Amino acid sequence: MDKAKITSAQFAILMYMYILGEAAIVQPHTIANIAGSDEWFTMILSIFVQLGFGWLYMKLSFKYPDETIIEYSQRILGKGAGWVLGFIYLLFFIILVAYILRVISGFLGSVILPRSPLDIIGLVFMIPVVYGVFLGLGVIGRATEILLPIAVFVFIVSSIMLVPKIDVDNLLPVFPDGIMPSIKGLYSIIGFPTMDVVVVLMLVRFIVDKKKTRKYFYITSAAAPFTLVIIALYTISVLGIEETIRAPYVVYDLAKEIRIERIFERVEALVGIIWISTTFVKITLSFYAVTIAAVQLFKLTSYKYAIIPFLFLTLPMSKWIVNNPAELEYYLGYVYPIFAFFPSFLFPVLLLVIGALKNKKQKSSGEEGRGQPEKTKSPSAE
Amino acid sequence: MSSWIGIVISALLTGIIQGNFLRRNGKSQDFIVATLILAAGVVLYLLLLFDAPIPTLTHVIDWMLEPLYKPVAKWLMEGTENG
Repeated sequence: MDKAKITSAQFAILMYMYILGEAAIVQPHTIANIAGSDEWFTMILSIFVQLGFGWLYMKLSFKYPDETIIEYSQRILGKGAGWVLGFIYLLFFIILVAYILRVISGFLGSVILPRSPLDIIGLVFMIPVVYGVFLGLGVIGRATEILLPIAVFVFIVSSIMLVPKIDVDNLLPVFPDGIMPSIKGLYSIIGFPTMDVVVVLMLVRFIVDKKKTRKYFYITSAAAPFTLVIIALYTISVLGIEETIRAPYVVYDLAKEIRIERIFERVEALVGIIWISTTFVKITLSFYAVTIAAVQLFKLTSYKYAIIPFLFLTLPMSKWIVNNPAELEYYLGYVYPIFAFFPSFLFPVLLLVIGALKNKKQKSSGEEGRGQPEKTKSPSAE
Repeated sequence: MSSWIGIVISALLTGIIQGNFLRRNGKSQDFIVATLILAAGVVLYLLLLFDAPIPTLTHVIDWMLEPLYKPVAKWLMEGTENG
């Protein structure tokens, strides 16, 4: 097991980058299909949904603060059922890594490296991910502290440069078909990235100063969707709704609009740094969750022995997962929210309810303390 | 095509090196699990390399969840250009 620890601030930064991850690349386009020019309102609504999911995950994580969901599901449901649930989470995280890898390979392969094979792009992207996971969560946390200011700086500079291109008329009329399209648009964003935050259930165990975790996490849970609100406002107001619906990687097309006479242009690859770094964090945390889940399920001596095998499993999976970008878009927009509903909402709620019932039962039978989460650390905790 | 062969060979080589290390250090549980995961990955690579007629994972999930997501998708697409 990884001996490294992260602080609440590092955890919050990690989650900010994780939530933004690929959502900023694919979601403005997907949601614009449903919500039209009111997609910014969908993003505003998603702040509250994100906070709701954040509350659920914090509630469950802090009931068993020294364990991951793989460990306490076995404690709550019993060895067999808990192991099966843990295995479902392992599969979920593997599939998540494969999807993220497929999206970023597709993005890089279609806009930056058009003649490179997707497998090689995927492999090259995975090398720093694998190295980061090998070095541990502490290093990933510190690396993200370096990446975030760079990403924020590029984001602010590019936002300022796009101000002259803003056409407020593109945002009008507001709610031409009522509020319903915006609410419908929420469906896609609940799946990706809101419910992906379930990875928190694997990470809280590694936080040192847990007292501040909730506060920082809620700030992050509001800040990340708020960034998506800004992105949505920019994409619609600069590119217009037609272009936003047509362009699969709309933030990249947005960056193409940055032009100061003929002196400063073609900076889209530079702006792409933001989305590559957020995706790097997302894929690294998901991959880390895969290896930790494998260690706890299969009782391995070190998570490091699982890294290379999982690398060579997720690479072909990223190729196998979809045939073409249209299939991927349909999947992320319509199928994924239902797919993620089980591990990201239903199972955590069930664990919370069953855990509470068990505690109540044990308390009522007069066995005080046994039903409570044990104060001693789990065998695998440092 | 050639890139796939390169990846399969590198997977096998790293598998052999890591496998030898784990066996020499008596970590049999780690050896078995790592070998099984790697084998699953290589088999999947080979199936894709030879264009085996396997449905994509998205198709499989799509087929499994169709009764659940289809009504929602239909409701979402009502009133849109795709609907």
